[in-house]
Amino acid sequence: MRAERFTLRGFGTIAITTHDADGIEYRRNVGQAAGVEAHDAGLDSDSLAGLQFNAHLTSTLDGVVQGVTRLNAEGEWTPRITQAFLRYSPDESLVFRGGRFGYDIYLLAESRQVGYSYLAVRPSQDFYGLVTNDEVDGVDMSWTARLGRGLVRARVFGGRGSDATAMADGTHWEGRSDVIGMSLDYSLRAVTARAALLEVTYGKNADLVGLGQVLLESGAPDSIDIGAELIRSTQTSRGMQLGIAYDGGPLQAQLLYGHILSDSIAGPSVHAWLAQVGYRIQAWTPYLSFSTSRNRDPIRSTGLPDIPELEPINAVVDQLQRDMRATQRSASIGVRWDLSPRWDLKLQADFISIDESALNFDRRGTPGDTDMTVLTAGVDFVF
Amino acid sequence: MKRITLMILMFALVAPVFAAESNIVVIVNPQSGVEKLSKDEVIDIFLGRYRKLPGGRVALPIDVAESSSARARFYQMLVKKSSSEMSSYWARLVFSGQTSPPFQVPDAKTAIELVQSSPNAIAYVDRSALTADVKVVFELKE
Repeated sequence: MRAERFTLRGFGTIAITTHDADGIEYRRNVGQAAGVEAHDAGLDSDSLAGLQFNAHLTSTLDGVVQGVTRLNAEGEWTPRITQAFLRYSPDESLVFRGGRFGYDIYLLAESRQVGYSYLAVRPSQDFYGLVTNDEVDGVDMSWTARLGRGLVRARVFGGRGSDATAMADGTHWEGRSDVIGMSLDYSLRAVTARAALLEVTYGKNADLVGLGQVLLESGAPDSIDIGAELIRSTQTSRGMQLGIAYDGGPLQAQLLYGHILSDSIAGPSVHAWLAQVGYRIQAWTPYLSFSTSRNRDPIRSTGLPDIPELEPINAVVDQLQRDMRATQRSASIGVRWDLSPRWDLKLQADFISIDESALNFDRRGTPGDTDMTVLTAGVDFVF
Repeated sequence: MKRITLMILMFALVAPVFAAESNIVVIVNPQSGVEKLSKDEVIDIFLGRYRKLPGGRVALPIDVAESSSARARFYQMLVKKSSSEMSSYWARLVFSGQTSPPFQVPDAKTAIELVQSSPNAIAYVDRSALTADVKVVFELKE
């Protein structure tokens, strides 16, 4: 008795989205170069396709390669390798992986690429919209053991990550970082609880060093502080997530809190909540979710006088912070219809209140508070 | 009165057949060293969370074909999940590189043969399909 030596599987989503907020382009996350315009119907935000190849090499060693095509920060659909690792498991309790793999930021669905594996049309924009990369090129180790009637799983990982963020002005920023993290799960029948920590360290951003030098030489105390942050050799963001999920019988529910705090104005500092509940009635699963993300810190000023000569510097520092801010709330209602054990159809309406957010592109001359309704219909499949 | 007695008799004859078909048993090889499993352990093994038998041996779970009513009933009784929900569950794990679904065989007869031949194998079958050379370690009652 042995598993199939080689397997090829695939997955995909075809989803059409529209909304009603003039001047706003709605996108799934900040890693997308374009969004859906108001009263348009766009396929770009949620549609994607992927293939996965598994090789069962020995009883303790196997390999996985996964490629996905979706709209990226350059506005293209170039396929990207999202997983490519070797897994060595000398014992059921202990698993080592080396290569490119995802890390634990999704509680009820470990991959945000596979729409078929989760309830809603997309992972919450409020909660995950600033995350453009959930993979790391490195190594991880997980250890699982029985604790009482349940299971405890501890995981540590480290390696290099990469981010790609698309800006409203049509440019995009790509960065490599050192990533380390750990997560601790406890599962008992239908309940899973998780605590996770993550630290992402970026090297000096060459594009911002010049700005940092100018600010340092300005003499204004606030400006010097910001300049020092920008020219520092490393900039660090630290994240934490606490979550509990129930997935038993017809009921699915999850409650998550997460934050990411940065030691530089060029990094995100956001607190987010997500609550979701769905209840299956035969092949139909209606669901509700509520989520929020919030920047608690105000926009920092350079302290430099507001005169025409210094206006470009003040504007750049202001925009740099706004590009990483996401203060908005969403209420979503939807239904998933399982057409077969390989296909589903989802309909979802999101009611979003935006205070100040870079998650969607705001093309209006004077951005401000916005309420928008986003409607999406999509089909997910796996094979 | 005669008709009622006849109906009671027929029910008495037929009811055990239905009852036998409605129970699903989890079986292992007698050499596995496992005497019984708890529901939590069966869930952990078949849902890919922790595939270890109580004695420390790695568990190799076996699924019968997706079209089989025994498979649908097994997961419905074990975790109250439909076939579509189980498919979605495995999509989560498989496409995030976590683990693989149980080894799939076409029918209960093949599952029993594999359990007979491997001390690591663990399968579920309808009680009516049970043979003497495998050991029942857990029973799901409708």
